[in-house]
Formats: sequence, C-alpha cells, structure tokens
Amino acid sequence: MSSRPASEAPLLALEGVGVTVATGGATLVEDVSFTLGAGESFGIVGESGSGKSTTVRAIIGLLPPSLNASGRILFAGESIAGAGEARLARLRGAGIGMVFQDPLAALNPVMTVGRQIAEALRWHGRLDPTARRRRTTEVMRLVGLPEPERLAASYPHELSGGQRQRVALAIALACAPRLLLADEPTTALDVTIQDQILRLLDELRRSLGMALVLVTHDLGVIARVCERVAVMYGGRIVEEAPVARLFAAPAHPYTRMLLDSIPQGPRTLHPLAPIPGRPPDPAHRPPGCGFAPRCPRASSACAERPPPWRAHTASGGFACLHPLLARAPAHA
Amino acid sequence: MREPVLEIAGVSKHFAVRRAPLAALAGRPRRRVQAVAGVEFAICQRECFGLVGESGCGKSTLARLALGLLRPDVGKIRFQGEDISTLSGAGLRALRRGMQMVFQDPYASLNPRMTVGAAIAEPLAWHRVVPPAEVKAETRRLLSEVGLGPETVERYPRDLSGGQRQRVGIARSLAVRPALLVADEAVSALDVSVRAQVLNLLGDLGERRGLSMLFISHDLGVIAYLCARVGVMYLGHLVECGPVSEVFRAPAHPYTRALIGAIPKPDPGAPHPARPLEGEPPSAAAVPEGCPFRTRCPSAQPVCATPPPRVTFGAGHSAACHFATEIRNQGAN
Repeated sequence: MSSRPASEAPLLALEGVGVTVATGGATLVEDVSFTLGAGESFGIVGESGSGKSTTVRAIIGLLPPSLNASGRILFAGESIAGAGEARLARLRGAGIGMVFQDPLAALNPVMTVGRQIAEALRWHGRLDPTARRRRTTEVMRLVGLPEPERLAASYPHELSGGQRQRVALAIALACAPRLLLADEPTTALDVTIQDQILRLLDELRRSLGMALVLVTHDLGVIARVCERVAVMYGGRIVEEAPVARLFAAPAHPYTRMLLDSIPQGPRTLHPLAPIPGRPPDPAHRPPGCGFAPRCPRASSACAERPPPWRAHTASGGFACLHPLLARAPAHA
Repeated sequence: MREPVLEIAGVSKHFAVRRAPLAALAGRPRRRVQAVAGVEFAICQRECFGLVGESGCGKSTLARLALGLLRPDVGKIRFQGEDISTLSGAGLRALRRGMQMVFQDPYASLNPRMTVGAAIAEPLAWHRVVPPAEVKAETRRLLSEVGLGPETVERYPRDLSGGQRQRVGIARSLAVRPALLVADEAVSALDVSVRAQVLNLLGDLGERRGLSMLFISHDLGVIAYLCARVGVMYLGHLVECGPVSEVFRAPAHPYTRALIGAIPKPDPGAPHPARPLEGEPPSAAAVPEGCPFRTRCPSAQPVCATPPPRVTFGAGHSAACHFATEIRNQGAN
C-alpha cells in the first residue's frame, strides 16, 4: 500500500493487523496495513469507534488484556507483534515514544515533572544522575517549557493543560525515539495552545528526524502536520493518500462526505450535506463494506464482502467498489 | 429594527475564591475571579448570536447569567424587555418557559432512569404546555421534529448514540416553546458527521420556529456556519463583536486575529500565520490591568496598560483595542 520503493526498509510496517474482543469476538480493527518511512509524518483520521486509537495502541502493545491483536508489526525491520513485556518496555520510550489526549492521566500526580522525565532516562539505563539532570533540562527546553529548572520541581496539577502536554512530550522525547505515536494530542487543548503544540510537533519532527503517527478526528489537524494520511471507518482503512490528494480528490465516498461535513462558511452560502445515519456498532458490523449502509453509491455487491484494496494510480489506495475517480492521467 | 429578545447591558460577575484557613488567619485578602467584565450585546428576534472564546473566558458564566441562574454584580439582563433580576415566583416561571438551554453532554443532563418519552413529557406537563390528554401526541411530534422516530419514546438515554441524545436534549428544550435557546458547546462532543446533522437541525429549527439563539462554542467554524453575528470573549471581556462575515474578513482585535489564524484549516495548502500566539491566558484571578490581552498581544504598546476604548465600525462591528483601526486595516491573516 505504500509508494515507497521496496529497497528502502520502512521504519514501521503494519501488515494485516486486527484487534478483536477476547470474549464475544467483536472486531475493533481489521486488516490494517500501512508503512512509514524514517522521519515521515503519517496521520490516521476517523470518527469515534473507527479503530484509530486501538490501532496505535496495538503497535506498542498497550491494548488491555481483554483485547487480542493479530497480524504483523515490524519496527526497523524487526517483528514486534506479540513481543514480550520486557522487550516492549525497552522499545517504549527508547525506540517509540507516545503521547495521549489527556496528559494528566499519563503523568504521575505525586512525582515532580522533572523526576518523571529523569525516570524515563533512568528506566532506559541512560546516563549518570548529573547527565540525566542536564538532559531533563535540555528536553524541557526542547518542548518549549519556560524556566525548566524551576518548572522541574512542580507537580502536574500545578501546570496548565498545555504545559502538561509539553511535559508528556518531554518524557516521550527524553530518549530520542525514532518514532512518536501521538493519539489526539491536542484535542483537549484550546485552539491557540493546540496551534503551539502542532507547530512544536512539526519542528521537532524536522529537527530530530523523528517519524510521527498522529491520530485525530480533526481533518484540519491532519492537513496541518501530516504528509500521508489513512482514513479509518468501521475498523478498517478505507483510503490512504498523500495529504494534498486526499483533500483535493478523495477516492472513497466516506472521505468525500467527511470533508463535506466540515463547516466552510455560512450555512446560506455553503450548506453542509451531512452523512445520514451513524457509524456501525463494532459488535454488529455489516458483512460487506462498513460504509455501505450510509453510502449513496453503494450497490448490492458492497453489502456482500469487504471491498478489496485497490492501489491508486499515483500512490496510496482505497477500499471501494465505486470510487470517485477523476479520469485516469495519461501516464498511469 | 427588530425587537431585542435578550439584552446584556454592561454585565459583570465576580466569584470569590475560597481562601485556605491559614491564609484567612494571616489576613490575606480574599481573591476574586473576574468571570465576566462589562459585557454588552443584544440578540434580536430570529437571530443566532455566537459567542466564542477559549476555556475560562467566561462564556459559560455568561450563559448562566442570561438564563437567570446567576445574578450579575453590575449591569442588567433584559429578556423580552423585562429585567430578569427583579423576577420571582410566576415571573421566573414564565422566564424558564421563555428561554431554554441545550447542554454539551446530554448524557449528563438527561435522567438515566427516565425514558426519552418521560423526559420530554415532564416539561410539557409541568408548564401545562398542552392539555394532559395531548402530552403523548405532543411528545411524538417533538421527537419527529428533531428527526427521531416514535419508537424512541420507550428508549433510555443509554440506548442512544451521542447524536440521538443531543436530539432528545433539543426536543426537551423545545417542549415549552421557548423564544430563546441557549446552546453551550451543544455540538462539541459530537463526531464530525453527526455534528453536521445537529448543526443543520438547529439551523432549521431556528428558521421554522423563529427562535433566537445564543450559540456558545470554542469553535469559530461552527459559529460562522450557524450565526449571523459573533462576540469574541477573552478573560471575561467581550473584545470584539460584529457580523460574522466582517469579523472574519477584517478582524479588529489582535486576539480575534490570532484565534482565526490558529484554527487548523482542512486545506493542506493553507498558509500558517507567521507568528503564533505565545504563552497562555493568565488566570482569571489575575487579569492584567487595562487591556486583558496585552500580556500575549503581538501589537501591545505601553498605552495598553490603560483600558482600551470600544472602537466602532459600520454594521455593528466593534472592538475593544487601542489599535483596532490599524488591526482592522491589516485584513485577515
């Protein structure tokens, strides 16, 4: 599904990843595949229940025991799906950093933020105490926390939401990971603070050469920071494309209708045509295309089996029998 | 000129912050949080007025003031010409019928043990909107008006999706046939596709019923979609107010300008403003003197330590800034 030449090994590759509920067998994520090159920024966009957060949690082995993951996950060429806890613990932070929507839940409320950042370094056996302190100050500066020496002595509850997310980012970046997984990192923040954090993520990715997987429900955030994007619906990737093409010429009807659901001005001039109905319940997914019941282009074939993945002539691809394709370019 | 339905006239509201016992013994002064400071605007009949701002800007306090759930320290709030702070008993009951609230999270505002039908029938019976024999039929009519089928009557809030619950919340608000709907972040918890449905529903209802609406949101995009006029709040102050088209085209307050620039646009080619807004809003317990925005403002000058004038332009567009004319002439980002 990637446009990347085969010779260049991807930093991260997911092949047919699925997640099911252990009891009852509801499928949350099905047949998810994508690859990510070093330093690349990849977005996963979808609505609640689309499986986007479950997918990123599966990458780093953070699924609750009630969920079963399947499929192959390769990080820097090594299989990490089903890796033991010890190996995953080494990988988390050092190879792959993570930030979540709610930094308050990710931070320890009774430990100063400076110690929490140093802890990440100690855990991965990095540096002696003096060097750890120096590195702590350094990463705090890197994420734009003012007066790091003073702030290091504060507790999470003493900080604002934006500062907490910066601390969570400092912990994630302390060991200079090659990949950062960010799950709705700015959803809980005000728009001007969101702007600051998105700028920061973009700068860090460029200056550190770190790859980024950003999960969000907000297509505006995707447009802002991602190079490629996967759209998830009902547990599957329904479309993957370079960000410019996704917004200009989406192939999947769901992508088109999702874009058309974003207000673009006054209702009198740009009335929205909302998608009728609502996303499928993971416990009762239709057997065919998950979007078929809401799709104006659906045919009877769509309801029979999930549509196969088709490569787009340029790059990326889509899972749809009736895509919205402009006439194919001559060189395709 | 249409009659104003709701008038907010120079309204201020403070809250006292509880002191720690030791601080009180030491005689440290009680801190006061300024939630709303000298806010002034009016909403006309059939008008949808948007109020935008970030957390802690006072927009929800203003909603509670408008509904008469809080009393202003200073200023007057008039609903259909009547000062609501003087109301009691029957007058207050009539006020509750005249204006209704739509909450962000209908899951929290609906009684989990009450069926949807009972939740909607309750205000109908309480305010004697229709004779008892017609309550059932009216409940169904209200549900169909918000796009829900008659089978919803028997369901409980937990059986519904977020979008359906929000429709129930709207139906319940409409039950008493209000003149004004106060919607506080009414679509913020909804998914993009469901949000579009509920926005259209609110727009349709407004037109069909001739409702006035105070639509409060942190999202300028949804305000621009639904509202004709918008007020921008920062730290309790209404820093800018005017027709949505004017405010977007030529924002006259640096905060509005920054807010518009900070919205991530669903367009990968959209230019980012060169300078993001730095820092975070100060605490509402320590609002800067003069212009409340001056500690973060890229255009701040020494004069900004004095209270800014309210500069008015045409079409009811105004901004509280010493440099409003200059900022406005720069156009949008």
